[in-house]
Amino acid sequence: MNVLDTLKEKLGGSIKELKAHNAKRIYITVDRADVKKCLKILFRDLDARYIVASGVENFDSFEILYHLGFDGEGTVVSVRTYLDRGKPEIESMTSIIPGISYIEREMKELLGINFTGHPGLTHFLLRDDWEEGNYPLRKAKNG
Amino acid sequence: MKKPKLRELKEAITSLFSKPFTTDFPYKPHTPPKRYRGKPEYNEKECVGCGACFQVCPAKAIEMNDEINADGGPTRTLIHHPAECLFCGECERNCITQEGIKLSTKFDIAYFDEKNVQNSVQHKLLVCKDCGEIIGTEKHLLWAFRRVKNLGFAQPVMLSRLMEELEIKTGAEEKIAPPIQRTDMLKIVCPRCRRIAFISDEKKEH
Amino acid sequence: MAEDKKKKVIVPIGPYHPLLEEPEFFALYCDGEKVVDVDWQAGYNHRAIEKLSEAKHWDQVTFLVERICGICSTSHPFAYCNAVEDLLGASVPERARYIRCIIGELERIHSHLLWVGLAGHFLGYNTVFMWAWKYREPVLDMFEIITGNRNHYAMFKIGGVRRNIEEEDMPALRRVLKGLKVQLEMLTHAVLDDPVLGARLKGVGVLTKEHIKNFGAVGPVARASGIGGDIRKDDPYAAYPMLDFKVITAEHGDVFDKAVVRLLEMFESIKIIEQSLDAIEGKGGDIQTEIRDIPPGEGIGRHEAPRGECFHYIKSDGTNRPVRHKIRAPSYTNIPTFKASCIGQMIPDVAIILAGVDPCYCCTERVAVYDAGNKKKQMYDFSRLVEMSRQKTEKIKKEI
Repeated sequence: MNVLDTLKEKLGGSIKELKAHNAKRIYITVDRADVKKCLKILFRDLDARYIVASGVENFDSFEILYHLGFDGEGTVVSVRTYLDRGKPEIESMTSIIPGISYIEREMKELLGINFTGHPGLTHFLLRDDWEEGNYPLRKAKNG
Repeated sequence: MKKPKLRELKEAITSLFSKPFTTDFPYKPHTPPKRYRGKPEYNEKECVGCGACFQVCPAKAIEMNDEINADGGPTRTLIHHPAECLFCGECERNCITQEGIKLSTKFDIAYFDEKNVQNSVQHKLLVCKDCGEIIGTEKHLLWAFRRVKNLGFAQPVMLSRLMEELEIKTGAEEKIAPPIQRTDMLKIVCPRCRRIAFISDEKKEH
Repeated sequence: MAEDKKKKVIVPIGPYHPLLEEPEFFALYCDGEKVVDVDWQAGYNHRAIEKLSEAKHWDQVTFLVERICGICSTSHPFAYCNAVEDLLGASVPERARYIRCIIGELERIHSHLLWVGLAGHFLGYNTVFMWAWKYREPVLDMFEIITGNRNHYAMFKIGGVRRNIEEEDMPALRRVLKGLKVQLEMLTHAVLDDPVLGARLKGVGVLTKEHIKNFGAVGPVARASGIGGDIRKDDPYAAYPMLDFKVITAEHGDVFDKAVVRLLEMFESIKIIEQSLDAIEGKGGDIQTEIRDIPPGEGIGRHEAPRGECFHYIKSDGTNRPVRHKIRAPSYTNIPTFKASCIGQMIPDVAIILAGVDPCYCCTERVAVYDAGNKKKQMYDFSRLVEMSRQKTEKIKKEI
């Protein structure tokens, strides 16, 4: 059974949109509330490897892509979720994937996405006295 | 236990009796390989001053200065700053004449004064006689003329440059008495002004 | 835990770290000589490459990402080009694929040799350091002949490579590989048979499969723990599907096994380069396809860099610049494994455990030991840490 079918079977109703760019690059969109459930299934049950998460700023929203790799098939599954532009906030995934802690801290300070339930959401890349509310990777900053 | 030691001993002894692996660089000159990517240098004869190298440079190591009010007519200067250079070879690869800027094999470019290692080329710039807009360098137009061959005769600025080269007087350099008219279209004018010259003449308005 | 930490001696390691993409700061919480916890702080040399990349043309980004790392400088352009080609669905000419593999594998050899040398240096085996770096030199010379520079090869281009490998350079490359094979054979056996190195490195800094999974560690670090993840095999790109090579794995996950994996990987790299040369020698052919524009969309590219999987995600809106370019270098997930591997180890072992992951050693450049209780500060510099490491080796030497 290939990854695409497994995903459809296991995640089923959570998937709002499924886009297979090609056989090895699958993007699935899920609700913000379903991310934790989906990641748990992917990371723990299906034994996917955590690669990284990318935060992207759009005109009207923020999106986070959790990239997970299925090394046997060489597939990268990216779980995409959209966050409110005004108050970007999502639950921290550190309880499922311990290694994700650093990228969440990075997204917090570069893009200003808040992660609830993160054990230590302190400064990681920027200096400690960096002013609040100045998020360098946001585009509006430079017009 | 014995065998591995012997193997290493062999290497140690050969190393002891072979000449040093390092070279006496500052005392003996070093010859870089043939295709070494060293300091880029302009070829004054072949460079036409189009500015492609300035546009593609990822590190912005090439500076382009257009001086319209310089003594002796408008000029374009392209300056290469080795301190910012990445030696990627994009300038050489994107050079429209293929010969205008070339990577040399010079690697020793430490300096006290940047002027000593800077490399620059200067070109005569053509500006619109009416509005003062930059058209391009004279050499660039002539280069384009040779590329498009006969089609170039349809382009007044190109044609006037060619005739100038053949020492035929064209009057293209004369100043334009405003407003611009159809008779001015053979003078050195930018595409926008030439369009106005055509239209205003037909509609009798400017 | 916070209360506990206060009672411990903190050994900060770092932070300046100019060579790798991730300058680091480690705080080792120690109980006597034993490390009980590790904290990691990065960003001391943050250059905002992701932001800068949004202001460069697609073509110029290859040169920008090449400068992320000085040692594995081709791995980022490789992954980036894979990402853009994934977005485009573009195919690369065959000769260019092989040339990409040759450059990537030559880089693996020089990077691993550099690691072996430095690891030897930390343990007080300066002969290993001298020899490994001596063997690395012909590889760099080869780079200079083929690409025009010892580092920063400027070879990669979306849709192909920028420079051809000339036929006249191929015999020289083959000669270098042949010589290297003999030398590597000697070096590998010298390291593997050495009883002192075995005693010093075996069982040190062990990472279990569970640790690897939790932190998402990649590359030789993961392979030393028995996880056979290798992007070259799993998600074949460039010419790797056409080449015959083995993925080296080990079982124990200690520093010794990481060394074994790296040493044996170099032989596979030599094999790959020789096969690639056979495939392109005398054949000719295009080295690039012309790419006119990048349509809107997103792409993911991966490359097995010397240190592990290098991951690039790009998003295009159809203009000539990326809207988002996410870069994940292998050390980003490898470094947090210190949290697992350093705990319970002795301070003299920490230098080699940090080295075992193959981040940059400059992180150990400035170490201060201070007792949180009475605020007394004692500076441990880099040489002191290495000295401690060497003393331990000497001790083991005497015991054996």
